[in-house]
Amino acid sequence: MSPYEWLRRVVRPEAFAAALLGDLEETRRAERGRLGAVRAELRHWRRVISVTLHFASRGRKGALGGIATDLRSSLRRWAGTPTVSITMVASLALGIGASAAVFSVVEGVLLQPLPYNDPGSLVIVRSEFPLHGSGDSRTSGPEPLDLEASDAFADVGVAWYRPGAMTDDGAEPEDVDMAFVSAGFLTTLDIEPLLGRLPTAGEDELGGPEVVVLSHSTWQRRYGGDPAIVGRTVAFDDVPRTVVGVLSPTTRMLMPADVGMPAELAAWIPWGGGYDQLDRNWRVLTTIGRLAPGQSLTQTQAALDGLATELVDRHSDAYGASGFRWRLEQLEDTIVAPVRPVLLVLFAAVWLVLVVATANVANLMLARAARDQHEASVRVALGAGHWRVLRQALADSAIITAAGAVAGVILAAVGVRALPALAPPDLPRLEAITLNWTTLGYTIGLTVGTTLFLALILAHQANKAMRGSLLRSHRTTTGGARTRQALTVAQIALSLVLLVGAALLIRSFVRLSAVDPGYEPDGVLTMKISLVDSHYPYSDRPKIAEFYRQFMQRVGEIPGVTAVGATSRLPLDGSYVVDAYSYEQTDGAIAETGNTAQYRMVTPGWFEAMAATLVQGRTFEWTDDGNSPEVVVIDDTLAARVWPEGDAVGQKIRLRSDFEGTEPPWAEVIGVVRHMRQHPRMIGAEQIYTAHQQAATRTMAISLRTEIAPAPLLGAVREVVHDLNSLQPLQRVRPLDSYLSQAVAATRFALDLLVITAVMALALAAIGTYGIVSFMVSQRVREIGVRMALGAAPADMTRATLRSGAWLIAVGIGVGLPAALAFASSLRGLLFGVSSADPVVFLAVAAGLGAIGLLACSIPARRAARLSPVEALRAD
Amino acid sequence: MTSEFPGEFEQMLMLVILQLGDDAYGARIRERLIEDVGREPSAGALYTTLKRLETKGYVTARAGEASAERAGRPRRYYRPTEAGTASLRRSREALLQLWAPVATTLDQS
Repeated sequence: MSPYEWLRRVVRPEAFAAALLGDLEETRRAERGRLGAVRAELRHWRRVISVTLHFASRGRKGALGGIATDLRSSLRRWAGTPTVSITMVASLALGIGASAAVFSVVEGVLLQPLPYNDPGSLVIVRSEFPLHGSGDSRTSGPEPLDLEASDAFADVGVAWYRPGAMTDDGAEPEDVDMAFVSAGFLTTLDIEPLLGRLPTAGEDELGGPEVVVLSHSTWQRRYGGDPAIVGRTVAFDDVPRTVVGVLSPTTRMLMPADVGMPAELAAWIPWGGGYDQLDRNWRVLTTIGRLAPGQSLTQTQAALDGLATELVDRHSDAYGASGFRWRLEQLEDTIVAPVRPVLLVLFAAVWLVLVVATANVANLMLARAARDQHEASVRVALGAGHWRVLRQALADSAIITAAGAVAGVILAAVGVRALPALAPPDLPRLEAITLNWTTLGYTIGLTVGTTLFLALILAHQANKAMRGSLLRSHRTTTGGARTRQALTVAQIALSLVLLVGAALLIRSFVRLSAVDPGYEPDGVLTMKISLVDSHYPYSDRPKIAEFYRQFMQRVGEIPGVTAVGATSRLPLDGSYVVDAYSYEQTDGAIAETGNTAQYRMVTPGWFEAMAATLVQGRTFEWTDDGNSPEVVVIDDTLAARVWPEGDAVGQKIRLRSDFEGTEPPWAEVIGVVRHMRQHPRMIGAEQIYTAHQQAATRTMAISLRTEIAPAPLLGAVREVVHDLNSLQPLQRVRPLDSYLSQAVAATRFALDLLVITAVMALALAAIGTYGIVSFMVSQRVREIGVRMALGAAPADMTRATLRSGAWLIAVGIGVGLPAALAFASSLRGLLFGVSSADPVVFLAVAAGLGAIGLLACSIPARRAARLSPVEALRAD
Repeated sequence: MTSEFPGEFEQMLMLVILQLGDDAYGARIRERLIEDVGREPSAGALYTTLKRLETKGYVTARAGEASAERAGRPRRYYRPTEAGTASLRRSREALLQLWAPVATTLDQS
C-alpha cells in the first residue's frame, strides 16, 4: 500500500483528501524551486506522514489514540536530529539485514525438508572397513541384492553415473551426464514422471529392453518439448533406446557431495549390468533405501550389521579381515552435514552483529534520554504514570526498529541475491534459498524482540528519573551512564569475539593457500574423456589403451603443449579411491593387513604434465604395457613408512583387487614421487599409481601443460579426438587451478562473511565507544572547567578522559577473551594449520581493538583539553 | 451551534481565511500563516483543524478548479459561516474584556 493510499484511507471525505493532496503537491512544486529537489521531497513526505498520523489518531480516545500520539511525538523528536536517527536506523538495518539474509540461507539449506515424500525415512548405504580404517560412500554390485533380499528396507535403489554422448542421427553429438539406475531407484525416492512412466522391474535385467527416462531439460532442449516423445527412439553412446518417460521440471536429484552425482543428469537408463555378476570389491553404486514402516534407523542398522557379518563369513575371499559393514545415514543429514558448521558459525556471527548494533542504538537512545531527562521529569511530575512512560519508550524504540527492519529486509533481499555468488558451488540446495515468509516471520520476530529490549532499557532509565529528579539539575544526573558503559563493554567484547574468529580464518586461509600440493597447478588445462561404450567395450582393454596412446602422442605434438598425460582421478576432484594393499618386507615376509592407499591409474606423461617431483627411480613409459611386468609408482609418504631405509625402488607391492576381482600379480615399485594432495586439508594418506596401459579404463581425466594460453589449443585437441573417434565428445574442460579454488571455497565463504560481520561489529563498537566517551566528557564539562580554573593542564584533561575510555576497553577485552575462546573452538572444523587458541591471533586482535578503541576516545579527549575554563564554567 | 470559544489555532486559521477572501484554500492559508505569524504549522495540525472548523460549522467549503501544478486535483475554498464569524467576535470581545485591566501593566514590564 502506498503512503498516498494510507492517507486516503484515514482522511475523509474523499473530496477533502483530494484537495489536501492537491495542496501538498502545489507546495511541493513551489518548494522545489525555492529549496531544491531533495529538501523539497523530504519536506513533502514529512507532511504526508504528519497528515496521515494526525488524521489516524484524531477522534480516537483511550490507549490506541494515545499510542498514535506517542508515535507522532516520537517521530517528531527523531526527525529533529536526523544524523542520530539515521545512524540508529542504519545500525539496525545492518544487523537485521545480515540476520535475515543468513537466516534465509540456513532455512533454505538446513531447515527445509528434502523435496521427496517422507524424506526422514530415506537413507544412503555406505561401506566401512574399520580394520583397514577406510570407507566408501558407495556399495558394490551384489550388495544391494543382499539388502533387497533381507527385507530390512521397504525399497532399495541403486545408481551410478558416467558421462556419455547423445548420438542421434543427423544431430550434433552432445556430451551429457547419465545415470544408470535399478528399476527401484526413482520409485524409492517416490518421484512421479511428467510423461509416460518410470522404468519397471525387468527392464534393468541383463538383456532387458533398451529404454530411457529423460530429464525435463533434455526433453525441452534437445527434442523441443516434443509431446510425442514417449515411444520415440533416441541414441546414447550410439545405442538406440526407446523413451518411456520424462521427469517433471521440479524433480531434483539431491545426493551427498561425496557420492559424486553430477549436478545435471540428462537421462536415467535402467542398467542391465547384472548386479550379481559384479565383484564385491568394486564399489561404484550409490545405494539408497527407504526404511520399512515402523522401523527406526537404529533398528535397521542393527539388522544390517547382522547381515554384514554373515556376508563376510560367506565371502571371506572378497571381504577378508576388513571388518566390513554398512553404515546407514539419513539422506537429509548427510547432504547438509558438510556445510552445517559453516552456516551455524555464520548464524552465530550475524546474531552477534545484531546484538552489537542493538547495543549501539540503545546507547544513542540513552544519550537522548539523558538530554531529555528534564522534560521527562516534568512530565512525570505532572502525573504521567509508569504505563505512560513505558508507552512513550515503546513508541521511541518502535519507530527506529521498524525503520531499521524495513531497510534491513531490503538489504537482506539484495544480500540473498548476492550470497549464491559468494557461496561455494557445492553448497547443497542453493536454489532453495529465497527471502520467503518464514524469513520475514523471523525478521518480524527479531524486530519485535529488539523493540522490546530497547523499550525496557529506556523505560527503566525513565522510571529511575521519576524518583525525585526534578529537584536536581539535569546537568548533574548520571543519565543511564552505568547502563551505557555496560552496553559499550558488551560491544567491545562481542567485537573481539568476531574479530578473533575472522583473524583465525584469515590465518587458516593463508596457510591453506600456501600448502604445497605436490604439483604445479598453474598452466594446466584439464578435460575428461569417457570412451563410448559401443565402440570401446570395457573388456577390450588393448583398444582403450591404444586410443589413449595415440591421443597422447598426437596432442603432445601440438605446438605449445609441453606435456600431456591422463589419470583416472584428478587430485582435488572430490572423490578418490582407497584400497588395501600388501607389500613385501625387506626380510621377505608379506605385510597383509593395515595398509590402505589412495590409488589412481595414470598414463606416461601425467607426472610431467602435473610437474610432480620425482624423488627416486623413474615414472611410467609407453613400454610399461600389458605385455611387460606390472609396475607401480608410489608416493614418498608410503615409501617413508614402509621402506624407511630409502630403498623403495625395486620392492614389491600388490593391490588387494582390481576391477574384475581377480588377485592381481605383484607389481614392482619403479619410482617414488612427492605426495600429491588430494585436498589441501588432507594430509598423510599414502598413494599408489598404477600404469593405465596395464589395466586400461575408459574414463580418464587429461592434464595438458601448455606454455601459451590454452584456449587456442583446444580446437586442435578436439580435432585429434574427432579423428580418433568422431562420436567422442570432450567433457569438463577447465583449468586445474579452478579445482584448487573450489577446494578452499567453503573456507573462503566463511572467511568472506565473517570478515564482513567482524568489520561491521568493529565499526559499530568504535562508534559506540566514541559516543560513550563524548557523553562522559559532556557530563563533566563543569568539573573539567573547575579543574582547569584551578590550574590543571589541558594534557591532564586528555589523560583523564583517555583513562576512563581505556578502562571501558580493557574491561570489554577482558570479558571478550573467554567468549572469543569459546567461539573459536566452535570454528575448529574450519581452521587449518592454526590452533583455535592461537596466542598470536588473540594478542594481535586484542591490541588492534584496543588501539582502535583508544583512537575513538582520543577525539572527545582532545575536545576536553580544548575547553576554555570560562566557557566550561558558564555551561551550566 | 456551539457557544464555546474557538481554540487559538482555530482562530488564527479563521482570521487568515477572512483575510484571503476568495483565495482561501489550504496551500494559500499555509503560506499566509508563515508570512504573518512567522511559524510553519505542521501539515497534520493544519488540515485536522480545517476539518474540525468544517465539522463545527464555522466554515463552509466548496470545490474549486483543478490544475496541472496540483497534479489535477481541485482546490477546496473556505468561507466563514455566520456561526464562525459570531464565535470569532465573541472570543475577541471576551479577550478584550480580560486584557483591558492588565494591558498597561503587561506592556510596561
